Amino acid sequence: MLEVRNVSKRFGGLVANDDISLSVPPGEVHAIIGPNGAGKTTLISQIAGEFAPTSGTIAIDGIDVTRLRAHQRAKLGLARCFQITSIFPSFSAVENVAIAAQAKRGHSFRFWRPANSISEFNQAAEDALHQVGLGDIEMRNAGSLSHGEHRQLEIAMALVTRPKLLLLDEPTAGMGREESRALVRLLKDVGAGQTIILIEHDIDVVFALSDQITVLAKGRVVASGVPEAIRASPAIREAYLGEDAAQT
Amino acid sequence: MTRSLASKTAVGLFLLALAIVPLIGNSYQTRLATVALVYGIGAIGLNLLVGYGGMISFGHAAFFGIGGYTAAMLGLAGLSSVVVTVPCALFASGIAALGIGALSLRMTGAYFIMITLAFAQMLFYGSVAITKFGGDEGVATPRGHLLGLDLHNGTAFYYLVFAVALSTVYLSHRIVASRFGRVLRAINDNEHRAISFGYNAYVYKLVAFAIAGGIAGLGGSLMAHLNEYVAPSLFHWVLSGEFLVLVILGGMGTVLGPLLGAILFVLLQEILSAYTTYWMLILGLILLTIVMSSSKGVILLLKRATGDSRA
Amino acid sequence: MTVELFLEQLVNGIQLGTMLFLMSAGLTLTFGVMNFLNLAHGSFYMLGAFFAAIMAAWTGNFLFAVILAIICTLLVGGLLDLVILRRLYSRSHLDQVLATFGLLLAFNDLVILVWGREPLFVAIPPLLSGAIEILPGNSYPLYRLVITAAGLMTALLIWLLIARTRLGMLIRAGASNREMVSALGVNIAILFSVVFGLGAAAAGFAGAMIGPLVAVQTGMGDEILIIAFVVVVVGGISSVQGTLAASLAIGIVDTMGRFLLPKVFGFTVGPALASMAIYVLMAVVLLTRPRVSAPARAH
Repeated sequence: MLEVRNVSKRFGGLVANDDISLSVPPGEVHAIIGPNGAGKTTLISQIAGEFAPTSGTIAIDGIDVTRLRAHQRAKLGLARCFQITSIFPSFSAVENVAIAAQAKRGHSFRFWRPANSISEFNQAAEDALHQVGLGDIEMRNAGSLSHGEHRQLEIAMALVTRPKLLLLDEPTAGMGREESRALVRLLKDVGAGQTIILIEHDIDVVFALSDQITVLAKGRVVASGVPEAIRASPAIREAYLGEDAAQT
Repeated sequence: MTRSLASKTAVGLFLLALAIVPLIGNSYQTRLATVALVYGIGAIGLNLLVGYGGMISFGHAAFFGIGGYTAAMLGLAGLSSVVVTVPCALFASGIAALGIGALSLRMTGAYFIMITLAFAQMLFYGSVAITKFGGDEGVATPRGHLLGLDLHNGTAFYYLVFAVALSTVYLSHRIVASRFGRVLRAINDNEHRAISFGYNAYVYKLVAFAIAGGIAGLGGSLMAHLNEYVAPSLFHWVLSGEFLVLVILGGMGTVLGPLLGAILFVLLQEILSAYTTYWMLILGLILLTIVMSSSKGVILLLKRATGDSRA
Repeated sequence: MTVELFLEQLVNGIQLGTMLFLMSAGLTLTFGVMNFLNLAHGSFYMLGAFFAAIMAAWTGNFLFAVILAIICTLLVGGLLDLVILRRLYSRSHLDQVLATFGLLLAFNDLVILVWGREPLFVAIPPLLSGAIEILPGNSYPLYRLVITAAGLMTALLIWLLIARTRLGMLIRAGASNREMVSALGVNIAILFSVVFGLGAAAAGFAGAMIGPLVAVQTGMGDEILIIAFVVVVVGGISSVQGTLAASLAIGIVDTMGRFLLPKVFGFTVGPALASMAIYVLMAVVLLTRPRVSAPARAH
């Protein structure tokens, strides 16, 4: 579903991503982990289409998207949840999801019918909200929801678009133990069968959700494999704690 | 009385008052109200742009002027039916707005404000060139007729403008609530997020800009017929600023607001200029006071006034 | 069209460019450092011209008048910043635009109230009223050369200030990260006031110098303000050199346009078309540049 080939990104003299390659088959949950500054955000931004790589290619579902911009990739089936939750605060929860659903149905250069009278979007939105557990607050103003509810809302918005590829950027950031566990349960539930790229710092979450893990450090891939292999390998300790720790 | 019923009654009374102006007022007052409504129509487009789209254009007068000059040129060519001139003006200014918007929207925020101001100034000079070409300070325009009905009659003209104003308000209401309007509002709320779902924000903003420009041109053509004259002053950047003031005065982000703002503005101008020649000074200070006195900005001041639950 | 005539217009263009720079420097600074859009900036230009005209008539000493004018403009700017504008720096662009638009309207009427509707006449100081031979057989007004030189020197001083002093470093730092700067213990409010004052003084200086060449009247700052906006759009806000380059380019294009276009299109429409030239330039720049996002502002 996702093919990242030899992607490098240079910002002036700084090499943020160095020859990264990644292959994610459909239905896999693939985590990308590594210490701060390893280049995870840069990589995700390039997959999402925020900016183009200095070199290398990115393909989604067989289509070369390297030169495509963010909105074009979304049309092809990319969905995203941001590190800092990003929703439409002036709209109600159900409208938030309806806006996401609307994006997938052709263009929106239609000027006459009231948008919130279109049952197709409303139904899809209500269903998605129910799935993530926000069914009873759908009319609430999205800006007034709690941080955890924002996360759930973002997931609902992503799911309603029936994405081919879902990018989750630190979904449990700022959450306590219980909230994180609830989110993991939710993701396992609604995300079943989804192709997901997951950036996470919480190792427990990573091991609970992932089928494959790629470890980045200093802009490069230092290890890639199934969770058990990564858990055992010295690469992960080296990446997080430095070379000396790997020797101990 | 619930808030909704109260506001509906207020709207009804407002519209009723507008409807009976020619019946209870003299010809001067009727003309004043006509001028106010024409400016209000011009401002409806800007309200769409600023109030719902978050795009602060300081060049709105350019499209008002293009509409006016289109009507004038058609008048010179012998076409004085408003059924012809008004749609042509709408089309011409809409197309112009498409071009100007395409360039202006390449930069956002304060740059956008500066660029729209600059392009409007460019068109101002263009209109000076066109006017001078004719050899005068302005271009005469026929009062026009509506399917045979001579519009020299002040009352007839007023009701034409009133009808156009109401239709435009209704149209803008439909647009705001439509799928397009929702996307526009979403882009205003969180552009980055809207893009991440697949909305090409630039194109949606551009279309909104073109619609706003078209509506401004509609107003401009009516102004041309009303005054039977167009001059480069229709393009003046102070007028662009005044359109913004109209939108704010009337309550940004409400569809009837621009009409209310226009009425208030014209009345204010009338009252002030009766007292002093330095009414611009007073107006400027009033404007300054309004902006400074709302601690969270003019937007929230008026959202509170219109009963927005979030304010 | 002779080479001499061409060169004369070129120098005129440079002269206009330096005046534009003085105007744009303030805009670039306030916009770059404080993200503040000031529509009343042209009023400082106008006030500078008025103050200089009045003082020159009073004292008979033009240099003295210019210096006084700069000080008075600075005082007005400082007062405005303290009482009103300070509260606008954190507000939305819409608020800033509306408030400063109100100020601009007020100032335009205020100068009529104080000094009347008639344009003021300022004599070129006798010492500078001659002409100088820049090419054999061609003389150029000395006064224009002097103000061009003064403008260029001010540009150099501003560049030195921004690039080489501690204050300049704070200004540059404040432009990219004001939280960091205040975390370093610098009083941001004072820094902003200094930046604003500098801009106002530069604009007032330009207005004071231009007095003998134009009609000193209400609204004289408006047109040049809009051109200054074009300079900011074209030249960007990241460097003094960029602003200077853009100012000179636009000054030259405008002057050359006014010189050449009427020759092609006649004198009825020529001047108006010439006025459009710099905006066409801006359009070309916008087309050829990649899209830019300005610093974000809360709604």
